[in-house]
Amino acid sequence: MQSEAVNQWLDADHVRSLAEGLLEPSPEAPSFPNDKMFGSSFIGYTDFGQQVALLPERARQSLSDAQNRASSAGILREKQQVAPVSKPTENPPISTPVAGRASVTEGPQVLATTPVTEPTAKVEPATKVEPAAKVEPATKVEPAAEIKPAPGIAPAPPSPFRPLGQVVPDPAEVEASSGADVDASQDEVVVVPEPVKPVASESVRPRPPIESPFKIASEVDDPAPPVREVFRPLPLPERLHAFGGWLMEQIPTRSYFICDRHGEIVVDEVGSEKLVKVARTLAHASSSAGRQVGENANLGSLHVKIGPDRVMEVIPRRSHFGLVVLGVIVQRPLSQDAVASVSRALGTALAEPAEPSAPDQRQLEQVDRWD
Amino acid sequence: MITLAITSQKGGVGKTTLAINLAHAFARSGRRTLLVDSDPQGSVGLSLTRQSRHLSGFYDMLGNPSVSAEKIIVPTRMPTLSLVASGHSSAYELGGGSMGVTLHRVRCFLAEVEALDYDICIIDTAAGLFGATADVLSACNGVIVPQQAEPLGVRSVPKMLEALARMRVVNPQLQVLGVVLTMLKEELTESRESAAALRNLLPAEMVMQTVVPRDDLYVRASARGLPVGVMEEGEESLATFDALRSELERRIVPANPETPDYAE
Repeated sequence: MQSEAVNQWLDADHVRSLAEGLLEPSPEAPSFPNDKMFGSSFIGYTDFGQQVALLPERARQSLSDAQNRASSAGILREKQQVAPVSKPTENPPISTPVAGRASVTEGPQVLATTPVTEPTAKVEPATKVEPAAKVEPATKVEPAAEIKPAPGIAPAPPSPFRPLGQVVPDPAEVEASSGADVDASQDEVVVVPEPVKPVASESVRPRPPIESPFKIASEVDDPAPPVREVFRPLPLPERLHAFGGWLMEQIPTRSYFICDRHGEIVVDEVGSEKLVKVARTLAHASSSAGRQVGENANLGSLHVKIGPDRVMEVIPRRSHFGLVVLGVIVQRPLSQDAVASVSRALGTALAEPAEPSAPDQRQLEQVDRWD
Repeated sequence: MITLAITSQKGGVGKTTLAINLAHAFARSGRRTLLVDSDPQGSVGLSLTRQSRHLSGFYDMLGNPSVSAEKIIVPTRMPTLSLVASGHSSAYELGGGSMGVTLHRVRCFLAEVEALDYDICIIDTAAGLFGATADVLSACNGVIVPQQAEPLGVRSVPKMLEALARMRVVNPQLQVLGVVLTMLKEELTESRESAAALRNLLPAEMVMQTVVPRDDLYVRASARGLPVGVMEEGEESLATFDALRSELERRIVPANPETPDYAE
């Protein structure tokens, strides 16, 4: 007897087909990257206007594969009792018309069939179809665009949320469509896809763009206000821009950047992802160390030599946005006083706009203790 | 040049042992062989050189494009065998590799190695097919999968095959050269049965005929920093890896048919 410690844990057919696939040379034919993970049964994407017929042989093969897999996994106890698959009829495959398109007699559409395998010994013949699962022939399908749930199945409650950018239909249109309802006494499930509305229809309400609280400094149109106005209740981008102007005047800096607690760039005049990463790592390490050794401990200035005559001074600042990191490229490391001064100015620029025009000394002191 | 990755989903299956001894076997046959350690644990270096901790290596090259292949290749006493240690991987582990950048650097590195006239480059990888290992596999010609001859090892085979199938989507040229049964313990029924089960499970051409046994000699060899074939009682192991090398050479298909056949 082969090792049961192995064989019972594996689907031998599946493993073998995987291995055989790996031994085959890669196809030279170009393929689309999205197609590759669907396996050999993937017959391609359908498109409006493209009609794909599901071959009966393919459906039978698919069901047979599923039964084999279920049998080898022990789900099916008596494989021989599985009902034979109903023979393909001479009739054309049942079509599911796309609303708004030509008549249903144009040609067959895709019929999605999911083989269901009962875990009991007795399996109902496939030809015996419950009324609830009956699919209306193409000629009886009404062009109405709605889905009737089967009796006894509670419809899912409507989600109070909508994804951003979802089309909001016109209320008048909604009212009109709700009037064209179907007969509720019908037992059959008639599945008709909802007509696809063009996104750029007249019923789309323009939504105001969602604005980030941060803005890249270069996108700010207004000229930089004087330093004094940093303390005025301006919007944040203007305050940061003003802070940048002040920084350039006070410190012989070549360039600087500011990133928020998530590493998102708020202002970037450096353009180096690597430097931003280094600065964040230093800032977070310093912040953690600061918490460990005590709030008043002096951990010194944070700077990294990044070139023969270039140093990046890293100035982390806690704010109501979280830990904001300022990286300044300078020739020599800044003195502690200069770092403290820049840190205070940054803290003030980041403070709530509702503050008084002059910086609140108590708040500054409170913020200082986080450093 | 042929580039081979030694990889597996599961850890502790003998990847490093296989990589070191296979590289040694190729080098003994006269091939200019480069053994690269892409496992951040640095097991190749720790097995073979005392200075491995101080050596710059694979991860230094990944983190810094100015680090050339020549700078990190370490010669050995055997003229045909050279090493690239793992190097300092802390920066990579902290920041991770940027998407696409690591793969690009691995490819550049392999191109440099090829320009240095190596015949074969064997890359030992960390367990799991992600991170730097995925990038290595995306740049290699072939992959060898050591598989522990134990029930747990064999049960992990489907995951391994699925992961390799995904890698072949990224790198269609990746040739699965075969599965090598390792750590076979003949006296243990479960080990024997696991080996037999794996041979039944996979197509015959996928499983190498050569089997690497579990042997105390491998532990003693790594303790002395030597390939097992160099040990006093290592003749049998030497023969094992020579057989494996021959088997692999028969399977290797040159990427470019215009170039002379690798196996000559």
